[in-house]
Amino acid sequence: MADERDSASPDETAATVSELSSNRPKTARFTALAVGAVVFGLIGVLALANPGGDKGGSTSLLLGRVAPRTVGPTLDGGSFDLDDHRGSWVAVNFFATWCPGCVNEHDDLVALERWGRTEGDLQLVSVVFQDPPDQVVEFFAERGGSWPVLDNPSVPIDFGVAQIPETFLVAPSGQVVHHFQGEVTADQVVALIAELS
Amino acid sequence: MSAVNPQSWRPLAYAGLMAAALGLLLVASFGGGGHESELERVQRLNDSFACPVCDGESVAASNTAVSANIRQFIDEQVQAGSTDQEIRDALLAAYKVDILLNPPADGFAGLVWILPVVMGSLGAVAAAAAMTRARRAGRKATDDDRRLVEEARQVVVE
Amino acid sequence: MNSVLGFGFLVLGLTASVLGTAGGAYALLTQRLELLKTVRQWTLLVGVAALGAFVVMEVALFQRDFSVSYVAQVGSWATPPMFNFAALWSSLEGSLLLWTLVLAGYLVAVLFKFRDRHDDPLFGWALVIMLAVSSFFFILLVGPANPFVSVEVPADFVEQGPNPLLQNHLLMAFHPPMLYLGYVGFTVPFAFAAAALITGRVGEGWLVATRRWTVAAWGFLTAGILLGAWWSYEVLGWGGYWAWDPVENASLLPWLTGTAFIHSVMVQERRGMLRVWNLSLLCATFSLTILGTFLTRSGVVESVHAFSNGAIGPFLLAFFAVVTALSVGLIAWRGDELRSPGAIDSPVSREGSFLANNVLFGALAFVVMLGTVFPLLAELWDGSRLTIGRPYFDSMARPIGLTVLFLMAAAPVLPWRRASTELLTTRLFWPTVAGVGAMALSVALGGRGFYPVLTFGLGGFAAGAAGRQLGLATRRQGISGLVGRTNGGMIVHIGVVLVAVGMAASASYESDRTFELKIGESVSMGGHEFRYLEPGADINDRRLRAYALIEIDGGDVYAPATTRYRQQGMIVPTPSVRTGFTEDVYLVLDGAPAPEDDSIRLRVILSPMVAWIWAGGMLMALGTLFALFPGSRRRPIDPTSLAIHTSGKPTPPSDPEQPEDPQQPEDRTSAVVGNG
Repeated sequence: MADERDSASPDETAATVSELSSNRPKTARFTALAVGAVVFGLIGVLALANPGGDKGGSTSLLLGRVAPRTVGPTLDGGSFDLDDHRGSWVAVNFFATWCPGCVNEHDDLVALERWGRTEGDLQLVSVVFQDPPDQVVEFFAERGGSWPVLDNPSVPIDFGVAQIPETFLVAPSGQVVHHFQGEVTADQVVALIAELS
Repeated sequence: MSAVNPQSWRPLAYAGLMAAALGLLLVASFGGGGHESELERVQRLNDSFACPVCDGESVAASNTAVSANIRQFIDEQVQAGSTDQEIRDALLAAYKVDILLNPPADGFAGLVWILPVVMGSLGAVAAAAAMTRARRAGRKATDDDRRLVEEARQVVVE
Repeated sequence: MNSVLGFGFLVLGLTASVLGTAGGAYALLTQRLELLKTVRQWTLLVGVAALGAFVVMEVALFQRDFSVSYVAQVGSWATPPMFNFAALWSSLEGSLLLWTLVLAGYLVAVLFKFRDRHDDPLFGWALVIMLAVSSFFFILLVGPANPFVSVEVPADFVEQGPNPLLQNHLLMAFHPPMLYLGYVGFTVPFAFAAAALITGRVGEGWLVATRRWTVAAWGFLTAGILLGAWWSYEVLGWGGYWAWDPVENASLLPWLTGTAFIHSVMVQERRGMLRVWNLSLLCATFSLTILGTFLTRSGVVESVHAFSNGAIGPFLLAFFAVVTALSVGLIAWRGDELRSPGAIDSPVSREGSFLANNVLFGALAFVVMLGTVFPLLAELWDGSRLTIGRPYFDSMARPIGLTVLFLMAAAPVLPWRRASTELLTTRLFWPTVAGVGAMALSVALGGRGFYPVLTFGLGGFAAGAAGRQLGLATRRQGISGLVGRTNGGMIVHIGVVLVAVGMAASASYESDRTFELKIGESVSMGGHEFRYLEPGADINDRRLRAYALIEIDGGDVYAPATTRYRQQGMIVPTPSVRTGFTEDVYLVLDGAPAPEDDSIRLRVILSPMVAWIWAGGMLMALGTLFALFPGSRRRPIDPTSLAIHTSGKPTPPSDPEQPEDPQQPEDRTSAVVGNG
């Protein structure tokens, strides 16, 4: 079979074989080494990668910029426009009654609002985040507080709200100067205003 | 039909089938009222943004409040007639670029779109080259061939 | 007690693996093959140790022995037995224990299966490599991921129980073991491939020896991935099954290279070509299983499926580096000696189509890999945080997937070596009719959109070709025409078509709306009517489950729920799905019923043809099983050419449809020479 064929032209075949084996291209070697280099580059990247990333801490894009337009009807039937409060400090608070942090910070917000109305010059406004209005009204009736509460789902979008509670401090100039991620206390806000004024 | 030589009718049949396929694809592409419905558009947009507090889940997929809020926003914007670009810009004004599930096509991120095309073409060229090179090469038996045959024979003999 | 016993088994396993590896390598390097006998004994001991550690952990879980650290982490009296058993693999350390058990199982199975080849150096090296892999996993278990750490049970100990997401569906008991059987199964062909490279045994022997192992591992991986998708659909409550999440991608990568391998390996078996390429694919597949394990367990990528950050990340990455270095080194060293002697005569041939298949699967693997790791690259490059999600992968994978469907239609009718136009038009006629028919049917039923309708058409085309092959085979051989690699493979192809059609339909024609409903109210959507009958609650000491009874179309009542797990404080929505042949009705509660008036937010997702995906998956598993039985047609290593020179014995046909193919005899003659 195969031998038969070989015996037909032994010289010719032998020549081809030796030629082939000496001149074998090194394609496999080069390709393997190139792939290996790329994969080791990838291993380097994976080794340097920062697991978990830096999601903590506020890096809001709004800091230093003029606050987004914050306008809309309030739950008590009135309306609110942030622009009407240029010249005063404004704290824009995002909350929902289902969020434990928001429930925790409510007493502090009540204190902050009282401070803003009396000693300081601060307007507090809360923006409802994914919560039915009647529940919010009930919540305020139970726990006190009579500052304006906006219900306009595009306001949280404009502020880039991701995880409530979040509170933005807007300076009298209209600029966003601070972003509180998580619960906020009245003392924190008062201290910050004192520091910035 | 058995009397008819398949050689004669088959080209015609194929032409008919191809025409039908093309026509059906045209109907499928443009016959559905021309463009996507509002609902489909909302769905597509929801699918294209990432939930900002989750790990890579889309706004459509995640159950978080922020996703619900973005879904509601997209819904309202679509009802109000905003364009995709306007909705995208509105979200990018305050959320970071990682809210886009579809990475941007410019800058370094553009590589993620270009590289697959480059590598795919390289692969196709390599495969084509492997075929033509092999075909150009002589049709002489090598020792490999002989060994192959020998091994196969041994297996058979066993 | 359990801690000590379990840890003892782990140490035993580590010792046996390391001694087996070292002893085996010594025996092989010094050519003292009689020493391999002890290696086999060490291997058996590894099996005993892994099984022992597994049993001890299950016993500890059932005894709720909270002095074992892992039980303290996932054990709870409140967990029902089924989920308690499955709790073993619900967290990092336990999942590695299961992994190691599966690996040890494969080791013992290989030892048993190849018992008559124990003195073969190739087998010896394969065993040594598998033992080295097992040493690595025992190192993990003894060191950074030890599940048997003995802990003091504090007086105020609060039971955690497994992650709620992992204890509310039966599928969780099957998905991880299935996936691991697949992942770990690729160790066997990898070990034989590396052994072939080390020994320089260029023949096809190792390939034939491990073909079934590879196909079985592939089948398990396929089943594991699809069960994961099913779990995700039934549990996560977003109406989808595949999100191109990094962890899903990590499981898909070895599947893609493995799929490429089981196709291109046929070219090697038949024609002796693509040897280096096939070895590389196996090395890549095994490396990718390790990379996938790293991605899943190191916290380097973010995913809902990932395990919490473990200390084992660096270990896995280092192991991946070792495997890569070994693979690349061996191929660079030996690769050019193994280069194939054959040649591909024509791109329009079976082997040409397998090559095209490999280009496509390679491209898809590249896209999946790039999309998964690109956010890390971007962060290193300029600190930017990117998300690469479904739209990117969809737009990249769709054209590749459609081309694969096309190939699935064309390849099975192509003969080896070369095809004529006439032959193609003859064989592809009815598949083409099937494809155009599927398109016509879908358009007539209201299907629109370029991609879905094209998918239906190419799906019909591919199913037609596969059905044609099965039809011919069963006509010739009766029921045994369904087994064997080719015919089993065709069943798998039909399964793939069902999956592709189901995915295209559900992704393109899904509708999703959320309604606010009070008791007694009803809404309609997509021709269905949904009536909210009443809320309900089901409370036990493990969880609070609030549900709403929803009547669909005045008939059956479904109960989507939200469950709050007390120990974790986690709220998990549990969807309720009415599965149908043409459409799934998927109901999810958006939060519990409101306390004051029991009103609910009900999300309704209508997903057409999702059930086809699961049916297709089952068919793929069944086809894989059939492919494992020897077909009656021919032995895979019978050379296509031999018989023509040996007297007048009938020729084993190289093409199953040989009578139709006038070109074959002369082609076969030249196949002997194979050419260079």
